[in-house]
Amino acid sequence: MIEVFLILLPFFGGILSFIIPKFNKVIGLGTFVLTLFFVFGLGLQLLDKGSYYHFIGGWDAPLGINLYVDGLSLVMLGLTSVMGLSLSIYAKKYFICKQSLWFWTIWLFMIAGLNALFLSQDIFNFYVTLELIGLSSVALTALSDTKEALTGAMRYLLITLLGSLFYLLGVALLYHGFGSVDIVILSKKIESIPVAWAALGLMSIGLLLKSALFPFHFWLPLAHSSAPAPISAILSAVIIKASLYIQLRLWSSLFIPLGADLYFEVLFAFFGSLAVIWGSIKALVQTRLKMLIAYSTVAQVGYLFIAFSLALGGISIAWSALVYLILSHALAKSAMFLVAGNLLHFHGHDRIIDLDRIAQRLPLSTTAFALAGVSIIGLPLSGGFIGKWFLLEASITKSNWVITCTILLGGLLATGYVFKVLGFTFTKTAFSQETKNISLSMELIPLSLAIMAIALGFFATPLFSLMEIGNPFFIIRVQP
Amino acid sequence: MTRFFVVIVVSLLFIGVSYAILSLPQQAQGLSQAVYTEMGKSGVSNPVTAVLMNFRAYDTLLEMAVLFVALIGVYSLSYIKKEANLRLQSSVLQRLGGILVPFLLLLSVYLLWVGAHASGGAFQAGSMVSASAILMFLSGWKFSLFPQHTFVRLLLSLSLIVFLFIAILTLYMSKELLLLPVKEASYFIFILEAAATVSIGITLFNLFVAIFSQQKEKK
Repeated sequence: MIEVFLILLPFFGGILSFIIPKFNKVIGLGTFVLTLFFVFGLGLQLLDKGSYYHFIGGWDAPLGINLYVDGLSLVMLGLTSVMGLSLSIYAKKYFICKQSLWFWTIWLFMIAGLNALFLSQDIFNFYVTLELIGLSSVALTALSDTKEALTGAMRYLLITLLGSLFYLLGVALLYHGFGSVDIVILSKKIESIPVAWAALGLMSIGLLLKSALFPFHFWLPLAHSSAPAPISAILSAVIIKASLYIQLRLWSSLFIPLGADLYFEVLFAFFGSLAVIWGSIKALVQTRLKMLIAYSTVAQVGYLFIAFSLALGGISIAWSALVYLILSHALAKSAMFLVAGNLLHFHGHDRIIDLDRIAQRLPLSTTAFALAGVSIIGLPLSGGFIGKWFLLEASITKSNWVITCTILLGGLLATGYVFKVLGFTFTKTAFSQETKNISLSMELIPLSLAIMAIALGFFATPLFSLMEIGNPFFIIRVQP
Repeated sequence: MTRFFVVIVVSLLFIGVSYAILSLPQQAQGLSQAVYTEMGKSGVSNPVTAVLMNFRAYDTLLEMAVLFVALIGVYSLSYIKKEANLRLQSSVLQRLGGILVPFLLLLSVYLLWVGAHASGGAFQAGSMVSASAILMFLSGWKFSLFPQHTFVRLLLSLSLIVFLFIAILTLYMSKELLLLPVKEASYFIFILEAAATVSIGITLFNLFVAIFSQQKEKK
């Protein structure tokens, strides 16, 4: 019963902050603190009882909609609520009055949509939650009210709608062919007929558009770099992974039994590797900090799909690598975007060569960026290291040397772009720049996120056992 | 060159999807049978309403949230300060509006009521409400349905508030979200639909007006 409050509570908070805009900050923060408590409660319940279903309306599938909670959904819900609370504290200081009037309502609705998505077990319900988070992220991107942000938001809107429509067409085909929209029922009924293959193709394309895998990444850098800092952070940290999560659920229960993994394994690995190389090189040549971070996201999405491809190839450790990369990238990347937001506020620009002794003047932000960089590169002891280590192990088990080399090369390029930024934090510019004050909480939040990204490296074992509750990748394991 | 490429990709997609659709078995395996067997417990006799408001009421809750977010998104872009003041000056429109609006509102109430056993329901009734509000607005009647007023904000979110209230109530009664008790289900559904009608009507009206005021600013 706890899980439904994760959906109802943010909705309630969002409406309340809409009706009483005067107290929207208090309402927003209060809602996030409560949500975090409920996630803790859910975790305790899950440890106690194991994975379980909630039949909404008491109907049960195929007629009704089922919610499903297991270790994987718990980890994603935990990530969402931690990100939600920290970004809210940051946003409380970041947004000026005019923007914050609507920010909190849309923001809370987006979190409600994310929570609903991670709890869902129904392919049509997935579509509705995708629409909810898609529309709210477009609205939040446009909130920074600049020309780039509006262009970025418009492109993002078109892409996210196109992706949703592709996905919806797939849902319609599956429903017509097999008479259900519930994943469990579908997994029993699905057979290898043309409809199933068409649905596989359409849904995968739709979700890849939203996840911004390499040839479909063209909309991401502008949207993610022009959005307000906390929004860039949530977009890179959670939103693009939400569509990957659906992909994961669909493949592990529907499409792998079809025997589709062979072709797609190669396809995902190919585009994933290209994304790593292309994204990292583009990041290396950027002159603006937020663009650099956005292109780094393109590269990191590549890693996620390499892990996905190896997992489809039947290597179970790749699933752990995938989830670990999702978590560590979310924490590190959001820390980076928040630091970029601080610098943008401090100097009024984010040109990398004019960073002007940030290391001395904003030491906390610089530390946060460096620590986040350590995790993005994948240096030992950080969360990113564990993810990449498992990924390497999986690729070596598979004796796929191309992927192994790509992972190593990607790490090298990441070192390049992180140190490019860090180098300029010490230099002094020839001209003097006016600076604005930054409140302490805006510096402490990215720092704590970056520390969490590092600390993730120390809690690998308990996190893996948490993830395994309900064995979300069970169907893969029994495959020969 | 790009256009050529796009044509090829789209036609390949078209061929693939049409092949898949043509290869479908003649008889769809839909859920209509399951809907008809359980209809007695749903509280209404219109299958569409039964699916939207009872079997898959949770989807409808999320869809109401999507509509709400769309409106807030438009607000966040346009920063409406004053009432949009584009009006069509026409005596015909004014007279006609005076005659039509009462009938339109009556019709929307009828649509809402009839939704329980025939075609109709909250979405149709809501668009009727918004149509009559737009007609009134265009004929230059003095009335205000803008989000500066707390009352209007309440009306806009009324549907979600009622949904959440019923969600909590059903959780308290049965530990299952939105489990409507069989005997009282028809009342619950009517309340949900009535609230949805109001919210949908005012939301659509506000979306219309927001676009109007946007165009006005550009000039």
